[in-house]
Amino acid sequence: MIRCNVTNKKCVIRLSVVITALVCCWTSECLAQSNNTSKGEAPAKEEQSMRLFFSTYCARCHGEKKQNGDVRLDKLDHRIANHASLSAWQDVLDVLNTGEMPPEDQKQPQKTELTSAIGLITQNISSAHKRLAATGGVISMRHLTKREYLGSMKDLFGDDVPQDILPDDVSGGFDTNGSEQFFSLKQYENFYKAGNELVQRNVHSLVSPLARPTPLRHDPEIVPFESARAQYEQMVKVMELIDAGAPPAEIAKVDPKVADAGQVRLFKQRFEKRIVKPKTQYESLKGKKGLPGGFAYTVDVRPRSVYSLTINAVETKSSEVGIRVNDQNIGAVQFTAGESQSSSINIRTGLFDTSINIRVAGVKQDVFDYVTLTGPYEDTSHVPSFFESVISPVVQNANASDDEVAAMLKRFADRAFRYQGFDDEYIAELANVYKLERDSGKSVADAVVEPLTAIVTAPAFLYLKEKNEGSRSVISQHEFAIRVAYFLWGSPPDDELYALAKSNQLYDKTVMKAQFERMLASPKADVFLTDFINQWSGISRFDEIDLPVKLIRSGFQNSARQELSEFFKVLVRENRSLDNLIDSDFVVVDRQLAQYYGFKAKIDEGFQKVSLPKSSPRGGMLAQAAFLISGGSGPRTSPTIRGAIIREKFLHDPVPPPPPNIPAIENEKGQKLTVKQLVDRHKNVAQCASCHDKIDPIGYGLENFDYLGNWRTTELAGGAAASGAKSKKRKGKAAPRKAEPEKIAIDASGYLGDDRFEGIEGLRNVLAQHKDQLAHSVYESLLSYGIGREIEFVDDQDVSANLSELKEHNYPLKEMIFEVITSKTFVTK
Amino acid sequence: MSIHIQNRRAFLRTGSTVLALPLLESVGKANTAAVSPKRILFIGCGFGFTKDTFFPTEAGRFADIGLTPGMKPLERHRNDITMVSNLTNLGATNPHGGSTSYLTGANVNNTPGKKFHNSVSLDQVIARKIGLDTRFPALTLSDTGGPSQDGHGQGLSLAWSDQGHPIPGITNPLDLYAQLFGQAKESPEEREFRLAQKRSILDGVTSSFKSAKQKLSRNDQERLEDYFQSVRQIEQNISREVEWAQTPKPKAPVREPRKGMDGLQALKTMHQLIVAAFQTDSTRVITYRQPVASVLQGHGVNLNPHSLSHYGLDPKRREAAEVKDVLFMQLLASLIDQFKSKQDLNGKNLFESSLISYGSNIRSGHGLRGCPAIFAGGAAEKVKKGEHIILPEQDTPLANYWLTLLQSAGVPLDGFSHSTGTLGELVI
Repeated sequence: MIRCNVTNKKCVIRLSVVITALVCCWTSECLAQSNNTSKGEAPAKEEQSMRLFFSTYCARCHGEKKQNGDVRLDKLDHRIANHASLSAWQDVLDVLNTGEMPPEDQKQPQKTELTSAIGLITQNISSAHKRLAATGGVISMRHLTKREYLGSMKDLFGDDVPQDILPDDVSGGFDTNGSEQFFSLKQYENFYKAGNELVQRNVHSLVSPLARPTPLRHDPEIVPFESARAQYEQMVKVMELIDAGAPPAEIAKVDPKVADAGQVRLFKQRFEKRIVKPKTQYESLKGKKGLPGGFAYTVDVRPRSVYSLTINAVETKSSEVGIRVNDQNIGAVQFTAGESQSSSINIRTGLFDTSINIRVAGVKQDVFDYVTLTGPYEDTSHVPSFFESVISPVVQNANASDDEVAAMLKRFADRAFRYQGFDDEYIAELANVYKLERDSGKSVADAVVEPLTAIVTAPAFLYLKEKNEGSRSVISQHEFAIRVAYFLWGSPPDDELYALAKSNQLYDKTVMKAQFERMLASPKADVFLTDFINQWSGISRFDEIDLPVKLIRSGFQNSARQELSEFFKVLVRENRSLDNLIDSDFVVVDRQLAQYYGFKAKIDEGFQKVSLPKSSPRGGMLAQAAFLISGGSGPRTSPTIRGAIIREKFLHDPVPPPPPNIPAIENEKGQKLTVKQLVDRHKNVAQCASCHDKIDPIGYGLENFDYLGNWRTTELAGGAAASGAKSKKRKGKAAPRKAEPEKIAIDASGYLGDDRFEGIEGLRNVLAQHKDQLAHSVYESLLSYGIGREIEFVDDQDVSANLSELKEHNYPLKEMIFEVITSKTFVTK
Repeated sequence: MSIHIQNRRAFLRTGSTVLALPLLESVGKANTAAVSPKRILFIGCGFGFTKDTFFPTEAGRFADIGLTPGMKPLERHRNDITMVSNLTNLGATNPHGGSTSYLTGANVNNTPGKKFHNSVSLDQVIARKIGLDTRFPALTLSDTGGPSQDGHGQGLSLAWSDQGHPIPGITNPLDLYAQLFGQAKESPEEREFRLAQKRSILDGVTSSFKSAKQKLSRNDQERLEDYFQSVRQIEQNISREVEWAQTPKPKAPVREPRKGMDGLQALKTMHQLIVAAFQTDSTRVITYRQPVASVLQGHGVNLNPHSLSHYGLDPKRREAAEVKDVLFMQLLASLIDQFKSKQDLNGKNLFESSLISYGSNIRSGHGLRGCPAIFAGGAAEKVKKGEHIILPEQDTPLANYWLTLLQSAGVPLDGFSHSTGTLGELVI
């Protein structure tokens, strides 16, 4: 690709000067960028071959002399400068794809000629689309994504906000792309509902009185005992009635399932056998103290309080018994084996906990008598949130003056609007809302709910505001602080960042470097690392795949979904090279995945780094279960999907969308084909081959992994393919004879361009040779995700200058992210 | 011949504003001549149908030519349905996007400086003409599937606003039921209070951004306008509620759906509620972007709809694709049954006063040419019923079909999207 090299070099030189300077400010550097780029235009050689194709096969009817159907092809604009010529090219592609042209009675191109012509036109149209859709680097103002909304609310209110308070975002590209966001009434309503609920809960938690602590006892044996007793007694009663010759209608009053003579007969027949279980259970629990093994129960609580849970055991084998609240491990209680004793643990309830589920984990040999939950107590360790510190003095004062309320609303709005200011009128309007509420008879606490909700549904809160007066320019440090915080944290800046922006220090590279390290080390960065890599890789595809029930129940589905992001967190925080996405000598797995991959290493709770045994094919993203499973289609692998993802993500060369109206591939009946042979049929049709030749062979390299990501060396041809409808057996008709599936050795050879390779190792080697493209893909995606727009040709210079710096160090990931936030493009609107 | 596509593509307009403005003028002019109201339902079905077993090849009355295996479930309605062949949505380009421009006709990838830009959809246009006398000018129903799952393509429903923005649809039966028949618990005073409260909040909303608004770029101001528009809509909706407060919501002619319904059950219930909405004259325009994947799962087909659309590879897939065709035609047939068995508020048979349109941009596999188009119902007057009509020209604009259908149903419409005229072949 030809780029303006001269300017490029200048840029690099300037940058390195800048870095060594004591106080460096990258924002002043060459913002004026030339639009002079040649990307997207058909290079001369390709244009020639296109012209040759036209003159050989089309010119007779669509040339200078004759223009059948008013179509003339010798004058086509090969640079596709506007939509009119784009349409003309699209028409050419359409007729080649449908096979309408050249007409049957005219000279026909060879299959390879046709394949390459279609491939070229498709590629050119695809890049023309991108070029013509370019905005020249305009960033559209956007509203907060769900992730950012939750982060912003946590910043104001202090608590984690449950995910289900808002529906998930729907977006094609990165969810931060403002030009792809559409705001509708529905979204306003969603934001209003979520905001109102949060404000209400928070206000209530401040004013609802703390009741006197009371103990609440739960006996684990009661539920099973009572249900066994009820069942036992009911069966006995029904049998008595039957023996007494009672009519079914009367029996049904005791057990509705015994309502006619047939059911009576059945009940009688099965009685002896069926009574055994409830009877033994009933008798074994009768008069017994406690229940062997762990148990769980749900109990109502007061939010934001402390409770003490005391566990009374009859006898325990375990010295430690784990306690889980709402499926989270909160610690363990200690026992000394043997004796009858009790032990306690404190439970802290969150803002959304109006009831909690308590699980006492125990083994069969532990017998628990009863537990007591005592509370609520005040949570003295609770650090007041910003909201509390501002709101509390007002809502706890029943006689708060209107001025005090107005001042409180102003303080809250200031922070919520990220200190970007608003009209003075605004507070007066909010005060009106408050007054309206008060006049309707509400208390101070109840009356502040609406105006506070109004603040968190206002555009100044929901939209990320960056000023712009026409041309592209550097954003203010305050705006930069907001941009970088939402990028790296998915939440607003903290006091430190705001202060540095205010004192104009954020554009100092040394200062920013320290801030960057601090931000990335914070747990808040997990949101960014997780979300970015998930969106980049398109892992949400995994969620649409139907997995065997066994894998869902065992927790595998959740673990597999997290593997990539846990891996990426390690790569970034340890500043490892991008290479690791292609191949790595370690994986980051939890117990579930370690077992799935057949590792012997002992894993504690959660994810951890594990060195790979030499023989293992795992490592990198391509051998991860979630990626492999995403590239499946029903119960078979899809080299096409796997190949397309690799082409787009690792080779930074997205596949053009499938063309309409091409002939479908038909399979002859009764053939036993492997997946590869099946997919290879794309080759037979020029229209398919033009694109699929660049996709499918990449995917072949992963054929050693079955559709569930397990290693395999053979596959069942013709049989295991796609189970469709449950075939209904028709009476009187013989079932169609089905060919027995045949076991065939896997052929995992593929190619990328002229490079042939064998299996995943071969594929990795080829991809490693193209790692510049992977770097390009990840860097551009980071930038795009961070600034909220697509990367366009106007950004080429800045992007390639930064990439060449990074290349010298083999693309370390943490540094790459730092390069992104300190790039010119990142600080420009 | 391809020349038709080519010449017609030149007529295609993609921007929305050009179309939207003149249509806006008709806002507020109530259709007072609603002696016998007409109701229109558009169903979008996503991916197309199986090539050999669904589409009839012969023109003529179904009574004479018979129904293909795929359409067989419509047998009992064969004298009431019409199928039109050789239509193409000239705007459609995405072979996985059966619904994106189904009711807009726009080429969504053809606007300079924009990656995606749609225009207003037909239902929204006609809602302004025939939807003014009902509680809901139009109802938008949709599936919850992702952009690639069911073959609908980008968008949230079949409906698109004047700005060409996607309109979210109601996706579950319980919400639709609440919308149609849930009785408001508030008193008139409470409602007035809520209106006043919202109004003052809305006043505030503008000033929260005011000081900065001048400094925003024009592009950003337009984006902010989306926000203000939706907020104004709330005010309009409450005002409308106040207006309709004297008219209590109708008594539901169907039972309240249970919570958490999905798949086939949910689809059937949505159909019942569509009929109920028309029956009670709650609205006269409904669009429904039907779910596919979830319905199939409930029917024992474990392949996703995209795999099914490429049925040629494997006999099992083909079998499943044929099962899919039959299932969806059974559902359409039983929807028509329900229309036929109900009466509207004027005592007129619901089927006689309605127009049901069913189809997609996609014919079969990746094919966009000759898209499936089926309609039924007495609202479409003086058009042929019980027939398969093969239009003489391939790639006849789908917009011409819309224009013909709507004019036959008495909707005053002179043109829509890329329409070039009406289809004389349909008219008796």
